[in-house]
Amino acid sequence: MAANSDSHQPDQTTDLPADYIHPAAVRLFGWVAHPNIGSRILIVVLSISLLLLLTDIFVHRHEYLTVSEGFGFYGFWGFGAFTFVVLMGWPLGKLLRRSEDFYNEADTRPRTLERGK
Amino acid sequence: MIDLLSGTNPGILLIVVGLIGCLIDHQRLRQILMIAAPLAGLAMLSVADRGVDIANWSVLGLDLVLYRIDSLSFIFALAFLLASLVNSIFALHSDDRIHDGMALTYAGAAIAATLTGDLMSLFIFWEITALSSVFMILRAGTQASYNAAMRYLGIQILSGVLLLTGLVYVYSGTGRLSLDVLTGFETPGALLIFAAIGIKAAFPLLHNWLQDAYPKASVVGAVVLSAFTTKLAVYALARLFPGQPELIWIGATMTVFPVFFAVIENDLRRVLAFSINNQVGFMVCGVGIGTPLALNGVAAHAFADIFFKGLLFMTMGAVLYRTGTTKASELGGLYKSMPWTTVFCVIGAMSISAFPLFSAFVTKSMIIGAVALGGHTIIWLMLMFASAGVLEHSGIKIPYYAFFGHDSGRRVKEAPFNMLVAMGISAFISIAIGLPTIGGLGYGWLYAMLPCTATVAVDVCGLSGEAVKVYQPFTFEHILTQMQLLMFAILAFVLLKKFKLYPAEKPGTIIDTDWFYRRPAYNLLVWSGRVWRKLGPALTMISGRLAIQFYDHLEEAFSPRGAMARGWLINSMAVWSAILLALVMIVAFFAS
Repeated sequence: MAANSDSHQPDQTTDLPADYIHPAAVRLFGWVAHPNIGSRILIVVLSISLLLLLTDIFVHRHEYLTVSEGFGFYGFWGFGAFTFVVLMGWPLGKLLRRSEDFYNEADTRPRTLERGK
Repeated sequence: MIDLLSGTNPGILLIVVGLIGCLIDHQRLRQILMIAAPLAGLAMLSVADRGVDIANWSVLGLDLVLYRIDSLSFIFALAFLLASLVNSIFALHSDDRIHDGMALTYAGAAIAATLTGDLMSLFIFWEITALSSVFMILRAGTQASYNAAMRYLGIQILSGVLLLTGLVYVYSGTGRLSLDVLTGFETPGALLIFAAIGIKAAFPLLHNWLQDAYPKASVVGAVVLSAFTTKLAVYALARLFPGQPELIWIGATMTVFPVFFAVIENDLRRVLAFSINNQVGFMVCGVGIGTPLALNGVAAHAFADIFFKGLLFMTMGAVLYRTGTTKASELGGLYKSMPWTTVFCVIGAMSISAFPLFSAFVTKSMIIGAVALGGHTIIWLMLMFASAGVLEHSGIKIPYYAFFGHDSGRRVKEAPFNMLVAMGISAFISIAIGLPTIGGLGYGWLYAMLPCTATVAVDVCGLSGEAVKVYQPFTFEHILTQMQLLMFAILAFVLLKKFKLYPAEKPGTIIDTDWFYRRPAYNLLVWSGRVWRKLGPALTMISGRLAIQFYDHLEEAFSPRGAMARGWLINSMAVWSAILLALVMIVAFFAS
């Protein structure tokens, strides 16, 4: 089955004007466009994280494994695991990433029949 | 009528309706059938008796059990039927009778397979899932999808052949094909069946068909595929190999390794394919632990996964449908034009990440708890590591790069209404089963259907009516520790982004172990073909000449004018006969 000849045609992306924003998007996600949103998210996440860590001082957890009994174990493990996975992305990307048509199968677009109407 | 309803495997109904659907050109009529069949299946499942053989069939000297429900098969069949219904709604915008029909046939085969009571019936429906599901990939209609579909089909058929060979071994050894006939890996038959399931479950090194095929499937096809094949394999493992310790390590490995691939993968549907590996890993690990708590966790997590993973695939399907791509490097800022799809994606992301009040919080924790109870420290650490990894690729990467992040400037329409309805139902289920139990709703609804309860059947959990302690997910400690894990992981993401340590999404192909059969093995085949094309005629000519010479020698010796016919006939005949007899005896000796 050969690729549909229309598979590479541009699709819906130009249907709507560049400044279009869905009315519901303004209500639901208007806050995302705030200029200092990055710093604000950092402050909120850091505050919640520290609060959760402090709570660990006052709670005597009943753990089945000794490894998880330490203060703030879950927070540190989550932070360390996430950081390790992401940082491993640098060497792994260099090691394993090849060009898009490495297998001569770059086209993975759906056929025209399935495109939005 | 009621007898017919309660006596027929609902999966078989879906298969028949699906095959009929392939012939119906009228879009609306076909789609009504696609929705009515799972609804009828749900009704049939609800009125059927449990714990007895409902439908039997004797054929070729085999007694097949075509319909049998117990507490393990019920929850899987229920999830498959609900998923089939949601998938039919998700597909309403498209007019493709083969796709619609085969999607229902595929779902029906998975349902029928879970509701059978013997290995041969399981094999038959196992094969139907392989044959019907390939259309989910083929109907995407690109050359890449065609190639991937052929590779997918080859591997799925291999799984079926292994299963068939295994069950023949088992039958010849025991004379039985019932689902409780296996007691471990002690026979070659059991090992072959285990390998067959291992392929479908995408065990490490057998996993590549999944990442190869699912991202190349059609918009609807990837959603359909995400629900059935791997979860059917989990059911088969839980049914045939519960408590097999090897599965603990296999499962734990499955949870960890996809995390590293997912972080560097650019195609978001491929990221979700790795996410399937990761989540199925938790289930496989739970099957290996094999305690009632672990098996309950497996069933519950499979149920939850079918909906939150389906939901995530639906959101990416909607993005693909509207924009033509799911590459992270080409997306971003879609919340502006697809806000409802964004909301559903965030719900799916929070569900898979196991935030409190979302489904995985009450399901995955049972498996992790069972691992801790068993004292498996390293395995537990691996699962907790993978939990942070899930948050990275499915919890953050998918919604962030598709809907937020760098604005790609794409302004498209919101997903079609039918897609939003399907996403809404999946999102509702993902939240509803994650809530505290209030008036019979919440996680209690799911827990009441789990395979190992106080009134458990002996053949599922081996407990002989022993009371199973009810797991309590909403304890202060559980909420606290889970929130610590997740919030600190999110903090890591925010800091890594702020200090530009998060690798940028780049287009490319990430090579995996499929490189071995897609490059060296394929090239070897191509090279062999070229060599044969060149050498073939020469070899044919040489062998032809040798044959002619050999015939000439024979004729010279045995023909009426040959050497054997000249003089000393009796002596030479006796000698030759003795030589030939000796040769035959030697061959016969070694052959026996």
